[in-house]
Amino acid sequence: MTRTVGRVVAVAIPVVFLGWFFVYPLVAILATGLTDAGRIDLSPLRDVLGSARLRGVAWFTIWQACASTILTLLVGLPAAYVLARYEFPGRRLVRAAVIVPFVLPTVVVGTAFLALLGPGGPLGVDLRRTVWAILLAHVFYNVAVVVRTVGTLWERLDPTLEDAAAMLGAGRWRAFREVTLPLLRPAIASAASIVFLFTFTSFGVILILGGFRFSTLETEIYTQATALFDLPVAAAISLLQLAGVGTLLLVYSRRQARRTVELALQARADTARRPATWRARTLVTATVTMLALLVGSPIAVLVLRSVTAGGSWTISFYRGLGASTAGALAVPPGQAIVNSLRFATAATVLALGIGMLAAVIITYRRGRLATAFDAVLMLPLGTSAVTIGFGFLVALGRPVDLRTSPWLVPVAHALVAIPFVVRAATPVMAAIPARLREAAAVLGAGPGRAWREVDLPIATRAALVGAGFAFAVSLGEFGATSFIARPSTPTLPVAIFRLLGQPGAATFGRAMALATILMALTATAIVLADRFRFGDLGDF
Amino acid sequence: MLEVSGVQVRFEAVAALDGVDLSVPTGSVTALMGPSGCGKSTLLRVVAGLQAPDAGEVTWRGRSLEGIAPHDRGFGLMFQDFALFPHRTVGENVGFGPRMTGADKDVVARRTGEVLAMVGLVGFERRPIRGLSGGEQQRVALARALAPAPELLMLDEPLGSLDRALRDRLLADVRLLFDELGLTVVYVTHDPFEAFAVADRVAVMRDGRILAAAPPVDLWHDPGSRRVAELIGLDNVLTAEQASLLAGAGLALGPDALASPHVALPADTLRLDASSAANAVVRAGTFDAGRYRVAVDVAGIELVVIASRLPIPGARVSIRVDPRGVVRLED
Repeated sequence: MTRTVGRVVAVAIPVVFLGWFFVYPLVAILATGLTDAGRIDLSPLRDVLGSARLRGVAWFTIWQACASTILTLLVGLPAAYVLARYEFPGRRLVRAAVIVPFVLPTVVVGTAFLALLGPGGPLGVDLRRTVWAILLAHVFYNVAVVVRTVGTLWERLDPTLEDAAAMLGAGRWRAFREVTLPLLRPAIASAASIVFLFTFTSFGVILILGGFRFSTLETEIYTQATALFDLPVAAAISLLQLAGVGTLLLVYSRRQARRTVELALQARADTARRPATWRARTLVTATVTMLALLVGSPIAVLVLRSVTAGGSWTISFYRGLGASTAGALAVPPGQAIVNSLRFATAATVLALGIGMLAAVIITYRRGRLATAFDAVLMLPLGTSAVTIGFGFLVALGRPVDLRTSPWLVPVAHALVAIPFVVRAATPVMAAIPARLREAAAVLGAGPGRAWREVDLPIATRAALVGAGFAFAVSLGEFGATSFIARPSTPTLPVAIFRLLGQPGAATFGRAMALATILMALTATAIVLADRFRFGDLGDF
Repeated sequence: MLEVSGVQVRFEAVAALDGVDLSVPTGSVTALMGPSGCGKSTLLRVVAGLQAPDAGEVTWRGRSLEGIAPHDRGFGLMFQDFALFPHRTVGENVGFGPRMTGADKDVVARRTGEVLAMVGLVGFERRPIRGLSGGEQQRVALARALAPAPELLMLDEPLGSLDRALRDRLLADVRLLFDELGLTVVYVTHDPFEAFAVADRVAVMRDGRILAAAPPVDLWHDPGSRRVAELIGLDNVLTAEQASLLAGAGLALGPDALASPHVALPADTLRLDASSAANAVVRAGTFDAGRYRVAVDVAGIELVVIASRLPIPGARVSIRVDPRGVVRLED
């Protein structure tokens, strides 16, 4: 009896959470966009589709995503090749460094590129409010996706296949085109889809680097809802955006289902060789230099500009975080650090509690129900953060008005972080072999003891990995937070964004300082999470 | 003494154990030998208490083990592929069993050091499991099974995943350890030579039944049936019809041999002789531990013969047999 009650509660908690904070807001968006006073009303949708400006926004959204994806592949594929096939000093460092941008908050990426390419930058150019700054930031952010997805396949691809093609009379380029490329194609397609999806729904980077000149569907929802207060139009754009993302995800999962190709894979050590020829050495040097510039320079310039003013060193920007800013923020910027840490702690507790419950259900109750549960829990990951924030705004006034609750921000962050917790924990827990429990039993541990000695410590470590990711996700979350953070309790990304919107070198410098702090905090959370990982178990 | 009587286990329609009887005398090493899928591991799991039998009984020192949980049996089991806890160090793995008995930290630590020394891994306590070589993992698993001083130790293919040279070396170590500790051991393996090398008694299993159980020497010289002879790796197992063809070609098998349904001619009972009248043609040979195993054709039947030199394939040779070495077999 108590077991059944426990089980129902274990399933009910995640279901209620998801229903209340994910499904209900989506339904509310639907209602706002398609109905008026209880009747179907398609006029907002017609307004959106009829507006030349909004059609322009949709077009820009698509083409900047295409351009970003192509550029990312152009940079990422040579990098993936060099890192997969060549052994050189510092290779491990470069591989690790390429991943760094991917875990940085979007606001930090936007700020770093503003520092590098904006006014007063070291290059002496001002690319702010040009599409180039946006595209470069997108490449910086997403090159990791290509290097990871394609590179891991490439380094395990048997190089003797190309040798065989060469023996059959194919030149190097021909051999690549006829043998390697077709084998890599599924990984390239998958990486390209992910990059497209990320850049299609890019928010922080576009808002910071695009200003009012460039807007995408994502930033347009924000502008319509928070600056123009036109909720029906914002909802209609949201629906278009959801339809676009839904189609993308559908196509992607179809492709994934078909991509099982029998590959001649080898252990990694066999395929990497030292660059022997002059050409190979040039290629390696050029690629590593390019990666170092791409990944290193925005980060370095960001940190540098937070500690320099007018050509000399200073810590005044960090000191200034304690003082209030005229107009930009209702509280001193330093308060945002405390807010973010508080919110992240609360969000991590929520995400961990609900995510681990879900992970236990998925692991121990296999079958169709668990699979469906797993899929539903991943949905917030495929939904843009802005949609989630906007949904909170239109939905959570009823039945209880949560829009003024201090829990609103942690709940939104937890929603985004739960998929990370589940993905970090489930594979590890599912991979605990029954034999380990049996081994414990034979060594004298009863069933309860065996669970405590074997499952619990492994699950705890998996949970700690999930907690680290959840904390980092919460620290950097901007899309949803920009809708729901209250002026008296801004988070770090919100504070940075507000500071960047104000003129003045002192404000700009403080934005740099805050972004540097946010970057350091995020990196710490990720590094700690990584230390709890077991080898290759876990999806992230 | 461990007594297994009439044990049956069914997995859906398939009988994994189909009426197994086995007794393991205290202080002896019994090898359970048979091809994969014959039910050896299932039998171990039944004795360990990890699998409940559908019928039959297991007793230890005259008392039934029915209803006694695995952790209360006081038996040790070394798993195939070791099942070492990946989240614990070598020392924590080995100390796990003693810790479950409620022993003090000092006692656990002392015992851990003791058994690690037994398997030749002094000072390995703080090493992580990841990064151990296959041979080291095998030794840690053995140490972990030994640490609680089990009354009965069971090992499931303990050397299965190791390469041959390492296996041969560890085999001798393991046997020595069993003798020193005076353990009662059930040793599961698919390899007849491993079983013969390690055990006082070898039980041959197939299709969920035990076909024969005897000391290695007795089993080798009198396997009893054709199936056991094949499973333990006797050469030249022949039907009565083939035997009479060989007799027709001049091989003196003796009158008794021709009366049995099957016979085996162990390779070392056959002599290859180039000088006298030829009755065989050489097919091929392989070098094996200082000698050659030569395949020859006698009256259309292929036999394996041990020879000190490798004759030229196609050469005509004479095969003679020592009638005392001929093994008579039931079906």
